[in-house]
Amino acid sequence: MLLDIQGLSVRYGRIAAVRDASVNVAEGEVVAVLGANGAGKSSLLKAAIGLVTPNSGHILFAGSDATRWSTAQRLANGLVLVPEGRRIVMSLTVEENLLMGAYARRDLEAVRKEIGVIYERFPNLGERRHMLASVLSGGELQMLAIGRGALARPRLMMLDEPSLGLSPRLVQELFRHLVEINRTGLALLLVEQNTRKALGIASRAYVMELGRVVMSGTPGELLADDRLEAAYLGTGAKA
Amino acid sequence: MTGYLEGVFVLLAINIILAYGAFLPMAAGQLNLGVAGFVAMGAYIAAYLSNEYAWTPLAAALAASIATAAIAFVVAFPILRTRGIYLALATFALGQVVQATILNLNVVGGASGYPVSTFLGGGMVGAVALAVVIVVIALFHTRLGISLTAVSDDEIAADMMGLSVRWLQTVAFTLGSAVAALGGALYAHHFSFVEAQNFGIMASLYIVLYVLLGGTQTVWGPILGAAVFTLLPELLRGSASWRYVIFACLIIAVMVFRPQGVVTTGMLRRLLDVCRPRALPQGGK
Repeated sequence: MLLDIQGLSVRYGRIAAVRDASVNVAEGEVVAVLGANGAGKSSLLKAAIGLVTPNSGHILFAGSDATRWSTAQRLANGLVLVPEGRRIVMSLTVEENLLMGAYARRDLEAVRKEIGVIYERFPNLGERRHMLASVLSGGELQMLAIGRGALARPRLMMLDEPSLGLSPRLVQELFRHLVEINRTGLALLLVEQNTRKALGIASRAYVMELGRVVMSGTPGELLADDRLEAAYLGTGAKA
Repeated sequence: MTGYLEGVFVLLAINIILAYGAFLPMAAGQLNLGVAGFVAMGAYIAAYLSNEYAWTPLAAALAASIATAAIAFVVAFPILRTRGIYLALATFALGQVVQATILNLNVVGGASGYPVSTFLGGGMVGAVALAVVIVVIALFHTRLGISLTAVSDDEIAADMMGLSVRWLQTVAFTLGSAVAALGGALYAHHFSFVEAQNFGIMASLYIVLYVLLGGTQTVWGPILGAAVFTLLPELLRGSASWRYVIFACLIIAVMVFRPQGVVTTGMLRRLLDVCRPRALPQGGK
């Protein structure tokens, strides 16, 4: 397993956000984590990247115990988070934001080349490379956030609600792009409210409810199960 | 140059240096309300080295700046554990501690002030100010500049991309204190007299205001802020006692209508866009 989260619990004061959750992702795999608001999906990802400290449980990455690693160490080992709300630095230019993703890298030649590839794939970003990120639209910001994450040269990219606030057409394009980057060998761990889209590209999925993993399986198995809809209280699973 | 004009010019040069002393930590998202304490350290250490060991003014200023940086680096660890308003209060208290310590240090004259035996001309003060401006601008064109902007804009995003937020803030605080101390040392050697009363909270507030008024987002903000604060009261001299009222109203107006300061990143980009002929392809949609 590339990422192996075992029995993870995260508490904020007296509130348990994640309870004894176990989630794993194999090399090159696309795994989705589904569930309603407040199910603990974001906290799971934040613990995985080291932004919050788990109260118990283990995080193994590529066979090493990463539970006590700093965020920088996790990045250096190939784990990256594309956060909820994208968190692009608005007072930096598009290109400076991309360079932030390559913060720990020293092979600037290769970084330049990879940035060029991103501009080719998303010409809107290329045209605005020297403009402040605040001029970008929601869809462009999301692509910038993914590009920034990719520049860290990860083996596993975790994405927290990437489709949030995007139009159906942009969601379509986003998922097409996710499939593309997965084909390059990059594993994805995708937290999504858009269940159908997420299950459309994932090979396995977990369903979380009140901090616990309540179901897991292949998209086919989950879609056939009534409990998936129950976990959302009828919010997202409908056609 | 007349004596009056030279006086204003030297004050402007020193104020620009002091503004950068406050700007560096502010660019990393920290308000240093004790910046005058570091100015005082620089002034007194440099003055002491000149008086007691006959160092030349520039050597003394440089040594004082380095010594103050070392002190700032050490106090940064407890101080930068606090955030927001608590950080402002902690730095404020630090400034008070420095001032009170100097008032009780009889070896540098205590409350009666400390005369400085060697003199540094206005030209030299201006040259050092120019050097500080160039160094800070160059610094902000490196990775450090991008990193500090990222830290002040979105600490969590910076953390998530593997930037060591605490280290960057410590570096900014230390560098800022070194620059502030340099300004203090120049002040001491040009005006030939320092007293602790000059380095209180009012001095810190003024220096922080230069930066807030000019703008914290770009390296040009502090220059503009320091220039306005130094020159405007002089220009308003004609209106005698009302000048401070007019001046204060202008400050309030800027803070209300342009809270991010006069010079912003967006404004600079637009200016550059206007000046530069359009070379970028516009199509491709």
